[in-house]
Amino acid sequence: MNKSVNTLRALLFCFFVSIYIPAATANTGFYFSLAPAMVEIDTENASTRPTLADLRLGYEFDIHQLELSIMSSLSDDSLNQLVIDVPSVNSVFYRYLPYKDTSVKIHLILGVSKVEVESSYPNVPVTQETFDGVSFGAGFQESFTSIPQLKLKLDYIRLYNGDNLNIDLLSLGVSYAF
Amino acid sequence: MHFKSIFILLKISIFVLLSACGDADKEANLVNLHTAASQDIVSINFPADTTESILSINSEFDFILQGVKSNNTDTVNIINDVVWSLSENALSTIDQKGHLVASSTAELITLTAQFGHLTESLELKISDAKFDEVIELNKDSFNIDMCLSKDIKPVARYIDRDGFDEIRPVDSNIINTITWLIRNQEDNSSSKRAYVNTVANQASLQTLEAGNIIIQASALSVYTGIMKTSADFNQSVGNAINSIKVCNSSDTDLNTCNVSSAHIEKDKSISVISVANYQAPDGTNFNKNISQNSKWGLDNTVNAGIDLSNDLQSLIVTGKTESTSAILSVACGEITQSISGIDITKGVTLNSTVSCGTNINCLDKSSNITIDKLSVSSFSVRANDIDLVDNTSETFSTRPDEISLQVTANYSNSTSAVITLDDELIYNITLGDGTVIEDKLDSKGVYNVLGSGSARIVLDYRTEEFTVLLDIP
Repeated sequence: MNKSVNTLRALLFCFFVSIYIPAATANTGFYFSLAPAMVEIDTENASTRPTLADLRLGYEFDIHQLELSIMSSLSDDSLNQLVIDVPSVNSVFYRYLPYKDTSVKIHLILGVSKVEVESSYPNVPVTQETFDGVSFGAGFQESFTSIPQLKLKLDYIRLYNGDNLNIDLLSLGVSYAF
Repeated sequence: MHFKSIFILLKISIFVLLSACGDADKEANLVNLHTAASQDIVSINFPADTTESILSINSEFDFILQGVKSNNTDTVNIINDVVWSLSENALSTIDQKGHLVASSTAELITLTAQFGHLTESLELKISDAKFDEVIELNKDSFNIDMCLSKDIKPVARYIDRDGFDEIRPVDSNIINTITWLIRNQEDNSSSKRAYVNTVANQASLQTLEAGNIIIQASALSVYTGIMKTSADFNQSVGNAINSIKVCNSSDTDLNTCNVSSAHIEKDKSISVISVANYQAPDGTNFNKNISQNSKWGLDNTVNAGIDLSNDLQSLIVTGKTESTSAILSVACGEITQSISGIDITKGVTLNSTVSCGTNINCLDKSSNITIDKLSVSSFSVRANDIDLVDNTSETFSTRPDEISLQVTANYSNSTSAVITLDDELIYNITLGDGTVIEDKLDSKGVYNVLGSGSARIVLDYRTEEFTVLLDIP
């Protein structure tokens, strides 16, 4: 219940920030990004960190971005005999740029995600489970001076905020604006 | 135009998103797998040697859950993250450490332990059968060498309301009521070779000397209402001990530790242990802290003192008279000194050296203890009733004819003493000697003032220094 309240607070924070910070003119158009990403499945007693390829298609207008993220497994992770893989993550993110004029662009991220998790352990059948829900986080972007359309980006997003486990995403890659 | 649409979209999205919350049930499988994997456990069980399936009413029992590692060989007792429960409507209770308190009436219940995704259950009978007498010293026979401890689980006969025997380990209520009688086999005399100690509902056999003994358990039969003494339980205490030595209680490597001599300041203490090297039945050697079952001695109780710690796991040696020494001795086995008047359950300490003599079933060792003078932690110094600070100049308002120092030593044991005239205190004028001040004849710590200027006097006592700085007008 507390986590749900915290999620609500985070969402409201993002929402009100997006309302009260004045808009500015900016680029408009489509972009895509590609990044290796690490997903951390965190429980009270232990955590595992499989990796994924993170592909996103987005549309940027003014200080807003809407993007569709499709991730697929690069490698699983093991904790002793427990093997955890994340075959896919599908998300829709809204990104808001509150401080446009700074050199490093900070984005507030809000969205929904669907995370597939596959687990195997001795004497236990292989299980595939789906965790979906609200996602929120923050991102950083910086353009290359020689190629302004090309940006280096770093995102940290809580894909799933559960009662007893959380699923976080850390991705570092590049995006290209058309 | 765009903004308005976006904000409407956002508001709708937020309401939709807020409906998505964490679901503990859905997360359970993944959380449980991580819990089991964090300790590399693939199966669990209640180990037979530490599990009871019949418990007396009103008794207590600590259950242990054992985990089997993924190599299917190693086992470990699982302490954390076990969920313990009893069947619905059970009158008995269990906490999350596996401590069960049996109900006051008989019942059949199911004990369940869950660790991660693994679950193990046990059918438990809470029995109102009444204790009659102890019939075995331990569930299984065992070997033990001198100066060691061995947890035992005595087995008793209980008799139920239909008159049928119920043979099972003594419960937590009865175990604390048993009086243990131990005799030497060869002459039936009261034995100092061993005793049985019961702490926290766990009985353990403590051995001090090698030899054959007879153990009996005497306790009130709840069934008959009369005291009953058990049959003789024969037990042998071996002597497979290779060596004995003294170590500091803080030593972690019992293989290399050794204290052949030690220094203690007066009124200060050190904590030592006795360590024995044994030969196990499989031929390997191992070291063990045997302080509790050793015999300790000190040749001079004026110079130093010894006391076993409250848990008997170490010996506290305290310095009494400075600049003296004492010999600490320790032995395992039958010593030449008499211990007839000593309660061996509280440990054996003698006001004399302990030694084995020619007894082959005994090993001894000694350490020389030097009692040093107290060290000084600080000084309090006054000059003509003015408090001085070390190496900090103090100015007199008027020029005195003479300056008298009063020096107090603050010792490391939190005591203090005026040492102005102590022979160990050395005064040394290092500035202004002969021009500002000079020693007053036959008056230690007193100086004649000769003129204005700065004077410096260095005080040296037991390697500690204090610098007196004076500005004289």
